[in-house]
Amino acid sequence: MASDLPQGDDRIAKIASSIRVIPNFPKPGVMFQDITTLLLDPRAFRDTIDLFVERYKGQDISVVAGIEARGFIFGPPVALAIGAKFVPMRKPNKLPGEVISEEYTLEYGADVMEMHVGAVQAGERAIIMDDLIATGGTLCAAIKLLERVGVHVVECACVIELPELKGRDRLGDRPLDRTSCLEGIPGTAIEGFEPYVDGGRKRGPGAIDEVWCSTSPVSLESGQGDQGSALGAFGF
Amino acid sequence: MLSLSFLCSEPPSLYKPPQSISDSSSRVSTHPFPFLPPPQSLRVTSASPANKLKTPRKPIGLSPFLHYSASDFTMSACNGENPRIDDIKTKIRVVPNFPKPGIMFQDITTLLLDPKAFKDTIDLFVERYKDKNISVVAGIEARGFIFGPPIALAIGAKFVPLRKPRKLPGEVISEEYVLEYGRDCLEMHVGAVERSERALVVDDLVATGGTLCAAINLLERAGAEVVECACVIELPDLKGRERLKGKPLYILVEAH
Repeated sequence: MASDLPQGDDRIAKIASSIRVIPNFPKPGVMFQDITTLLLDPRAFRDTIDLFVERYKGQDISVVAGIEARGFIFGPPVALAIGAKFVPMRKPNKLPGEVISEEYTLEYGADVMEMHVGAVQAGERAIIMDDLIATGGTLCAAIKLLERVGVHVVECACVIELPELKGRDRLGDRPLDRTSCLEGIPGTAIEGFEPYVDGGRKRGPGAIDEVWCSTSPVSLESGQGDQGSALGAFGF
Repeated sequence: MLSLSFLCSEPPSLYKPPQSISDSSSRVSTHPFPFLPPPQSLRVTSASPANKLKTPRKPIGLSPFLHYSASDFTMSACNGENPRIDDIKTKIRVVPNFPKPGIMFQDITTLLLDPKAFKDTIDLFVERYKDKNISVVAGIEARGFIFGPPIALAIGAKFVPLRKPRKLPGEVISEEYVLEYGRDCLEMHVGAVERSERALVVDDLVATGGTLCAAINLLERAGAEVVECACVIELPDLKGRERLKGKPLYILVEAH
C-alpha cells in the first residue's frame, strides 16, 4: 500500500526516537526499552494508538486484552476507539472476582496470569496488547487464557519487538502485529529493535526496517490522512 | 529522597467542601472551575453550614441518607451528565470480602466490559478538563493506567505513570506513604514533569487518600501544580477528600 508509506514512516520514526533505552535494567546486560518517554510526547503517543486503531477498526474485534501493567496503557485507548471491551490480564490475587489462571515459565521460575471468569464469551474476536514482546511467554499465556474460553485470538499487538528473542515463534501460527516488514511473516507490529547486531555492535532505536509492508490477512484501511487522528473515533 | 508527608493532619487551608449550585452565587469560589457544577454524584447531606441550601431537598428513595436538590437535578439533566453517571454506577461490580473479610471491593473491570459506559466515563473527565491547560495526567499503578491515558490522549496532555518501587527503569523520585498496616512507596521518573506544569492525578478509586496524597507530593516536589484529583469512585466514609493537601477531588460515583 504505497499510499501508506510516507505517513507510516514518519510516525514510526518519531515513535522509535521517543523510546528510551536504559542499560542494565532490571539487571546487568539487559537494555530496557522504556516507553514512558513515548508517553511524554502526546503526538507520538497518539500516533502509536492511531497505528493500531487504523489496523483493527472495522475488523469486528470485540475484545482488547491488555497485560498488566504496561498493556493497560495501550490497550484501553485502542479498545475505546474501536468500540471493544477492555479485559485486563493480571498477576495473581489482583482481580477480585472468580478467575481462571495460566501458569507460564520465566527465565528463572514461573509466573501466573489471571483473567476474570465471564469477561469474554466463546466466539468473540480478540487482540492482545502489551508494550513489548521479548520471549513471548507472557503473550503465550494470555493467548491460552482466552482460547480456553473459546475466544478467537486474531492477533497480538505490541509497540516493540525484540526479534532476536524469537518471541514470535512461541505464538505459533498466530500473527504478531508489527509495522516493519518481516519476510514471510504475516502480521504487523510497530517496532523491531535489534540492539545486538553485526558482531555485537549495538544499534539503538531507529535501526529498524522502515519499509511498511503488510502481508497480513487483516486488510488495512487507508490512513486518516490529514483529517486528524483515528482517535476521532472518541468523538472529540 | 523520602518524606513521610502522609501526615496531612493539619486542616487543609484551601479546602472547601463541595457546594451546591444554589449556593454558588453567595460565595467566592476557590474551586479551579467555578463555572462548572460540582460533581453530580449523589451526595450525603449533613448539617454543616456549607450544605445549608436555599432550595428544599427531596429524598430520591434509594436510601434515606442520599439526597440531591432539585437544582442539582436540573443542572445535571441539562448537561446530560446524570444518566451517564447512573449507568456507570450500575456497571461497577461489588465483590464482598476482597481482599480480606469485611471489605466490599469496588470492581471496575465490569465497567470496562461495557464500551459505551467506559467511553462515557472517559468523556465525563475529558469534558471537564479539556481547554484547562492541563499538560500532565499522572496515573497511579495499575488501575490509574486504564483511565489516565485515554484522558491524556483526548486532552493532548502527556501521561506520567506513578509506580510501585523498582518498576520504573530510569532515575526516580520516591514518596513513602502509610497503609493500614505498614508503608508503601510511590515513584515517578525524574524529568517526567517540568516546573509549573498543570497536572491531574487519576486513579480508579479514592479511599483513605493516602496514595493520592503521595502522588500529589511527587508532582509538587517536581514543581508541577496539581490542579485536581480525578477518580471514578469515592468511598466518602473514609474521608480521603480531606487528605489531599487542599486539592479538589472530582469523582463520578460514591460508594458506601
